[in-house]
Amino acid sequence: MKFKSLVTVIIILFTSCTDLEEVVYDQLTEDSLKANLTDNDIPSLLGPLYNDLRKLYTGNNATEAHFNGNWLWVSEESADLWITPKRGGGWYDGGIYYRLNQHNWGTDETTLLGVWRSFYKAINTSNRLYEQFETLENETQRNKILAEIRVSRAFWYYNLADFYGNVPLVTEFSLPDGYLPETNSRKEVVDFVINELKESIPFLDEEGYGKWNKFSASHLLAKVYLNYNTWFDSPKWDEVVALSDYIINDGDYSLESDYSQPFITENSSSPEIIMGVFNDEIYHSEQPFLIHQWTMHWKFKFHQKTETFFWGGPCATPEFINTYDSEDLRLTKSWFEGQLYDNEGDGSPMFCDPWNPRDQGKPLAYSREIILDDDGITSGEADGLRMIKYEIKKGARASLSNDFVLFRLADVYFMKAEALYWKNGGAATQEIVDLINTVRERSFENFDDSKKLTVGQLDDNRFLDEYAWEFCQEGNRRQVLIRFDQFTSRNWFLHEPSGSDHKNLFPIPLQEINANPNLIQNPGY
Amino acid sequence: MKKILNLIFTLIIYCAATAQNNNNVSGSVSSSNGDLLPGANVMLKGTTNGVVTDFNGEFTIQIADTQNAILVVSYIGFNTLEFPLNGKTNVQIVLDEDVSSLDEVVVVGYGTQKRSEVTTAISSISEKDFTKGAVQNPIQLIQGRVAGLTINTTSGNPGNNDVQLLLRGSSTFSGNQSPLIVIDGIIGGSLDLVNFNDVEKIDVLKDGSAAAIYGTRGTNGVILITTKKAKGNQKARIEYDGFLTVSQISRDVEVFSPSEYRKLPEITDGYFTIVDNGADTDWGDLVMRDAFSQVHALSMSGKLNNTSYIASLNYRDTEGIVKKTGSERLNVRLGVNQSLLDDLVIASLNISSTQVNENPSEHGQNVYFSTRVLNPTYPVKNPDGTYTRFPEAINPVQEINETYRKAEWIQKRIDGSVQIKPVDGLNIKFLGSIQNRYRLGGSYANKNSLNGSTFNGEAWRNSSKYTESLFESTVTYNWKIQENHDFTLLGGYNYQNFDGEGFDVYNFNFPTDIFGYNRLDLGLALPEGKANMGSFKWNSKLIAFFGRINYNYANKYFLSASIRQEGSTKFGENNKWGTFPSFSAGWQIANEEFLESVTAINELKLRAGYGVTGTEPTQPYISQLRYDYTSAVVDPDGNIVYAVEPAVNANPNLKWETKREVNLGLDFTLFDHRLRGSIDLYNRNTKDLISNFNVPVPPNLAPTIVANVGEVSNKGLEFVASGDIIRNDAFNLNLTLNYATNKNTVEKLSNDTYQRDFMDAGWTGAPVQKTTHRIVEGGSIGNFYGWKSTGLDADGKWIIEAPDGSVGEYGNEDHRQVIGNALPKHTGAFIVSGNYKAFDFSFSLRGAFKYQILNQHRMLWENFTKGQQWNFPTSVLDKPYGSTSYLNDAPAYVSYYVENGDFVKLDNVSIGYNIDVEPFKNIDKLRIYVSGANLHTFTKYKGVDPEVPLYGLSPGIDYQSRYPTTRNFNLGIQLAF
Repeated sequence: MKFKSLVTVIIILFTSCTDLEEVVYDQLTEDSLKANLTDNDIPSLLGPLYNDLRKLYTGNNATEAHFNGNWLWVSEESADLWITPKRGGGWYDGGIYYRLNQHNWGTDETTLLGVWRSFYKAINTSNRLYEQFETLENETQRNKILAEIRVSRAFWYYNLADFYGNVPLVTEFSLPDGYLPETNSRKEVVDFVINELKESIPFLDEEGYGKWNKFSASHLLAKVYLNYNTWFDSPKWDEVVALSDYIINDGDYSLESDYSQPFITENSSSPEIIMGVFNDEIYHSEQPFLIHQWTMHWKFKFHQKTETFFWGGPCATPEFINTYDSEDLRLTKSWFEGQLYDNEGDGSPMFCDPWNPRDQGKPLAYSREIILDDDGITSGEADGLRMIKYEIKKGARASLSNDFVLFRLADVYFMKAEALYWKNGGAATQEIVDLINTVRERSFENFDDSKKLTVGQLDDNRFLDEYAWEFCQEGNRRQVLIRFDQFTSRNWFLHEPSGSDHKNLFPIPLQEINANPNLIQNPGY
Repeated sequence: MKKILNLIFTLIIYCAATAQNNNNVSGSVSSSNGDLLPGANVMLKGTTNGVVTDFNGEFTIQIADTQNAILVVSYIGFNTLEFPLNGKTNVQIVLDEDVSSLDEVVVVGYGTQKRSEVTTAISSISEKDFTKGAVQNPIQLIQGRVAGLTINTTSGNPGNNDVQLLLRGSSTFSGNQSPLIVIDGIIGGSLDLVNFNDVEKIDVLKDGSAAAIYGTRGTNGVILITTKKAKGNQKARIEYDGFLTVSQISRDVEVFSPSEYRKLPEITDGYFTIVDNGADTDWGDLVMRDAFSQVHALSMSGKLNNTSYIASLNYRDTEGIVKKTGSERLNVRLGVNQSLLDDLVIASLNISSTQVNENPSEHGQNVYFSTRVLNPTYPVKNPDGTYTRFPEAINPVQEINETYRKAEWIQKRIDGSVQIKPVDGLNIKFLGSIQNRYRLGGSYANKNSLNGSTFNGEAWRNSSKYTESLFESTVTYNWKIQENHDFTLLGGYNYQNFDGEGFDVYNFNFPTDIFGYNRLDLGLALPEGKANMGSFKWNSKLIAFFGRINYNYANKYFLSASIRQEGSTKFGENNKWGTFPSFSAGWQIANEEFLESVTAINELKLRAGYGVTGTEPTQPYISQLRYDYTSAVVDPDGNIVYAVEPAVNANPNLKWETKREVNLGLDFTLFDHRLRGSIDLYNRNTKDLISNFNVPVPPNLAPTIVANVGEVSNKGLEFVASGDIIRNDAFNLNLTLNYATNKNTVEKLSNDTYQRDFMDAGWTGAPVQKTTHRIVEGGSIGNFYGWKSTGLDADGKWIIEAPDGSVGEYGNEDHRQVIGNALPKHTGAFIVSGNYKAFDFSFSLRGAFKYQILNQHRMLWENFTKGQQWNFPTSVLDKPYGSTSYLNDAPAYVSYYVENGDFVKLDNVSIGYNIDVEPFKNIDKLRIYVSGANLHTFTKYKGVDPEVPLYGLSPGIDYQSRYPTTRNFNLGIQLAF
């Protein structure tokens, strides 16, 4: 009897408890997400669409390149306005900065991999959300949301076409197991972008700061057309002019009277910004906007009484600084020159650290020249002017609260001017210089005739200078140089012209080719 | 097992006992350590007249001629003794334990076997072979005793014994590499709950056929720890064990003293100029110390009627060699065994608890490193009283004075079991256990600390709870068919639940340092939204059914087969359950008739086994698609909301790593049990390795997926031999030698779905910025992949040799090659132990050979180009490869810094003296000893210690920020009443 009941107990124990369902407590699963969805969740669900824009200037955790695998860094570091020389205390990092600056990049640069991954991550987000909202019942709401998503996706494909050229065009989210996308030509990608934008713009709102609305999407379309001739030898100048006129005339935007205003800490309300990316020092400590940390000396903390330290890397190239008109207010509004003071202490001037022996006892005063040691790579700590176009407020934290300016009205004037310039065979007209002067005016105390740009002055090089003075640190330099065919032919600091036009495109990252053998490497790599 | 046999003997003999009209001779039988032995056989030599000792180990036998009678006393596990009565009628007989240990009981998974019956590769180490004297961790009791098991102490961090266990090579890409620990049958029992002197024996299941019964956790082997139980009818006993330890750094990396530093320009003929800041600072002296520790262990055990108990207490106060680090712990255990209904039911209940207060050493790791690189002419403080600061190293004095960390944790386990033996041979057992670990940590950085001026006082607190519950039921049935067919059948069910949860809070900007982290609410950062907090919870479950059958024919042929069907919540939906079978067989050749006449051979057993085991993914949930709230965005009304995003790629096919292992073995015991040993050959092949795989985005959500791809094999040989060179009353000397060799090969890195040519792992750190290891098909795990340096050119730049032998270029990826491997090809130990009269002694030499270490400190700092403001290892004066110039090149990942790690350590040395306790009435044992651990290392390696971390895919990097290992001197006393 005893034995029998024991066996029964054992059998019960043996047959119960074979349940292996995994219970998740602190994240959402697909089921729990769907089960709890309401209309109030739509902003959260669409959030990633705009959140991904942060990847233009923040690090990418998927690579070792925590802070420099982003579009802003690569666009500027590979061009002629800024450079990151080795400093006594660091910043060589196996040559990753010099390789970008001198156009010696390999196919496996973590920086370039980081950019690729951030772009495709964003495309994936768009595809996923498209699939999710395709079934939304309210037609008006659906059309508007889908249009936003398609513009977002077009933005990232435009960037891919700009950086890498020939890339796979994937527009679906649910794909069969083991699907490996194949490379599309740059033309196919860009034509897709144009078509998507044209189809979507009519459904967008006219308002909405930091959103894809009719004007920000039109700005994007104008950018695509502006580059079209460079990429495909087929001019689209009239389209650029028409879209620029539309934004200038129909949009509720105006130029700030002060060049710095679009870049101040509380810049969200600037009427000049057409597309801004929301930054907040509290909410975005995880995906921070770090341009101030990249550039300033750690002791800038005491100078500006900030709550963060700084890394002291990139600075302006001396050649570029020397192009500024001495009365151009943009020089001091963009670049920090001179002595740092201990404002947390007695306000006395501070000194460099002695990590490079020649810095020993040297005042910590940023100077225009970059002087290299015998090794040809190491500079002094105070060499080169530093970026302050984005205001670094007192008490600034590790992440800036200044929104990142992606598109602003001044750029529209420049796009129109450039389109007219090329249409005119690369020669200036009064209309063109007037457009540039409209933007230029605010940057001089006395904008008299001596400061006005004239038809006679404007050639390719002057156009490039005008772009640089107005748009330095905004991430468009590489593209502008390529449009003026000077990316591989211009001389700056340590960079010698390679003349290798294939470098106008970056290589498809080796790591990605290894993961997807269908990808085709760009010519020349 | 012994107990059961005793009972059976007792019953049989009681029934058979017959009375004779002679002299009553009475007495007792006990073991040499005083345990009374119930059920021992006492026979009058040359007759069938015999009795069995009772529950108190006592006997009465009737003998006619007491003058010439000889008693033959035997007991399982002890040497049979012939005892001449010489007319006495009351005798105390002491039996020596049988050194042959052929009948020694070996703990296998879910049961025991006699050593002679074992068909798999198991190392069984009993108390008498444990490391004598002071140990820091129960596992160190078997250090050097198990061929193929590397016990690697990689830091001297007190309280946090960074002991890495690695058995038979590295066979996973991302899984746990530590063997499964089973304590008294409780899977996953915590070593922290084991009092080292409560350990009775440790068995290590090495091969797949032995470990397959543990399924998805068997791949790294299984270490079964058996703790002491109150023995049947033992008198109440109290033991005390205590020792004092002085620890010092095992070896200092030599750097320049202030005066030596000032002479550098002279020594280097002006090559190196210095920055003299005027001070004389011995950074090491300011923050390092000879540390003092004490351990006290007390245990009590006894038996009252059907109840036996054991209680023990262990107090350990350890100082770290980095000042202000240390740990204090108290471990308590209480166990009760109750036998009911004439042993039909045996119930047991155990409670163990450990509480630890520690000043952990996160900062300790960087403290020592800083002392090696800071300029000795820098003062600790500036003239204005603030600490001096440096860009790549902390000011160690500031660090230890202005920050503090504290962690308190309490671990406890309650376990109980009920065994029922309804009929002869049948044993039903239910076992349950709950093990918790609660941790409360806190740290505070003063306003004067490194980041103090920014954060104005920073506080962290965190708390976590981890719970592991186990329920297990097993049925064992043992039966015999005819004389020679002996079967044992085992069936069982296992359910385990794992829960983890916790939270952490960070705050800064405090009005005062006085409260430390005790007033988190006073920090202004949290209300301002600048600081953060978080919480988490996770769960996983493991469920298994298992069975095994053992067959023994006439103690000559043995067969065993087992199977475990196991499922885990961590596996993907399509692969929830795995099957892990094993087969093994043994042939005891010594028991064959044709060898019976060869008396030199006591045992000669051939073994062969095959088994399948697994390795679980380490994290839960990785097979599932999960979404998370990530970053803030603005909704159309201008409110801030969190974006919802998918976190990772799902992999519904995720499963365990599967290891298949073949093991061939030979056990031998020769020359009257004086020489014994075994040889094992194995081939283990692990496939479906779990690793992060790069996948294209799209179609995937994220650029990596956790997938089962790849195959690794380990082939090797293990040999152990132990000989009693001298064995007599006054002098015993035992020599033990063991040796293991292993060859690791990466067989595959791709499968049909996922392809890759290589995997890179490890990181040199700034400013070199290179990966350190590469895994390729045909290569080995642990291969260093860098640039081969062959000399310095006239400018002091590295000369690099490309793989094809031509002149290469540093930094050129095509010129990289394998420049070493981190996993030792050969390991071995030589242990001498014995006693001379009242003295006992032992020492062990332990070594590892044919492997390399990347010396990060040298790579980054043995280089004058680092700059005048630093200190350097004195080896910076060596001109590499006999060149004429100093190195004048940026720090680089070249083979010059990949050093041979080969070492022999004089590891455990102990000398003890057993004081004659006869004059003291109640004292059973009194031993005093001195011992030392990690006393000296014979090696050409230039770092602190050639025993460096071996886990993972980037093993063998001697990180500059390790907490240095220690050399320990102990003085101890052992006392038993």
